[in-house]
Amino acid sequence: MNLIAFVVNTSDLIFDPKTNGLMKIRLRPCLCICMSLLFVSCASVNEETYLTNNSLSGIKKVAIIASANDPDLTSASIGYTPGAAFLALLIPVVGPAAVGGVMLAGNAIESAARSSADSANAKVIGTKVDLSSIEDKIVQSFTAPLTKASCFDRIDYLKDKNSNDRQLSDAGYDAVIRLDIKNISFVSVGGDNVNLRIRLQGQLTNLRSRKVMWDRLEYIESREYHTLDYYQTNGPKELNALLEKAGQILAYDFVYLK
Amino acid sequence: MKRLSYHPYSLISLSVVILLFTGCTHVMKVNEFSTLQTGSPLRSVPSKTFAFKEFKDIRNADNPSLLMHTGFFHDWVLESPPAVMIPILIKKELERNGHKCVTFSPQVKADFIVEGNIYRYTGHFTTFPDAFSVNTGVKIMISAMPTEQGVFVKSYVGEYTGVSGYMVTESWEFCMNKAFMSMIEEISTDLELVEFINKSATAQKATVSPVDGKILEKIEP
Repeated sequence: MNLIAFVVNTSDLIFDPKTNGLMKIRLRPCLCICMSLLFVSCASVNEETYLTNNSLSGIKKVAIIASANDPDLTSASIGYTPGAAFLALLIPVVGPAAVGGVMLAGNAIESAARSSADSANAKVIGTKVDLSSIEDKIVQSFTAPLTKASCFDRIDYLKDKNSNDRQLSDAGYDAVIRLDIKNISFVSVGGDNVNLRIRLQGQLTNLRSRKVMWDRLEYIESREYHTLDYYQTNGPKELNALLEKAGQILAYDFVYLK
Repeated sequence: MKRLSYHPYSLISLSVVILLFTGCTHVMKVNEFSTLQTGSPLRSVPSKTFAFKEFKDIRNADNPSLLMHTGFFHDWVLESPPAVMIPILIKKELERNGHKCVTFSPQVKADFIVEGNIYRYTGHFTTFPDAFSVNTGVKIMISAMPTEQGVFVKSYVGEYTGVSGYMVTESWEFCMNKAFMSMIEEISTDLELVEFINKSATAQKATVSPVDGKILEKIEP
């Protein structure tokens, strides 16, 4: 984490050569804020809650609500480039501020150029994604194994996302399962090819106790890398395959509960 | 001579610079990997015994444990090479789902023999956006005993790219754990593997006569 903190903030370091050759480093106020945030950011991410043997006792009638907000069809590039390594060599010679600035500028330009082209492609793909069909697909792939294994007496897929826990409880449901597609993205690991990734959150709330009994974040990605052009044609098919896999894996938590 | 101005933030940044240039080796140990707590169809199979042979690393890497090298002074490594680490994680997952794992020897009695080749273990790090990306891959060969009952061969991959930002930044340990666990989850939720184990189990049950123990029929998985 120290490495990341340093690299991100080197542009904020200022060298003052006026102090009789002694190097004085002043920091801009924003650096203080950034560093504070970075140290805070080292906190762990969300903890998952898994089902136990008793989690589902008394739960017979379940409502399922799915939501897929606008997909974040952006492209992120991952890779430690040789150019960055070369610039790092220069740090002892010209100082970290200068190198940091060059790295910042270089990466920003490269990132902006690539991101601009990729975002345009991704947006085209995004227009072909029907949110409603994504929601239907994830519910279908999630409920199929549950129904086959008779996990609950009744499972209702509710299209009304605004139903709150009280309304559902009044309607006779014992629990509500919320499937939330948090993120759909393309990621490249160097080169022009990208793979498709989704983050799916599943939550089960016991409407009697108002407790969240199950909270899982499933991260699924396609096994193969393709160009964005490929996804313009085959995106929906690839996305459906991932959604099906993600839904099934989450359903296994219920089907194969010890 | 003028005195050096001691500003607290200067000290912090200098410390960071010193840390950067001093460098360090970031090591991840076996016990730092979590155990899956998710549902697995492997639980639906009656308990079996898996004998593990040594896994091979077919990447011809100079340092098999090295995930990535960033800058000039930072190494990100596993305590044990992936050829050792991955079978440990697979064993843990099988045992979690009620199966028994032993080390292979010619005398050992087992329902299946497990072998594996590590063909992928890479990491990438970037500053814009700040993220770690970890990729792993293993090709597994599971032979049912006796061997006439079939061999199951399949490659499994695990990948994870960390999320970064000012509020949440996922560490390399977190990304590493996620990548390995996603590969283990691939194995653990693979219905083809479960089907193979089930068919082999059925074949074993069906082939032996309850009277004299002779083989009656053979079902190819």
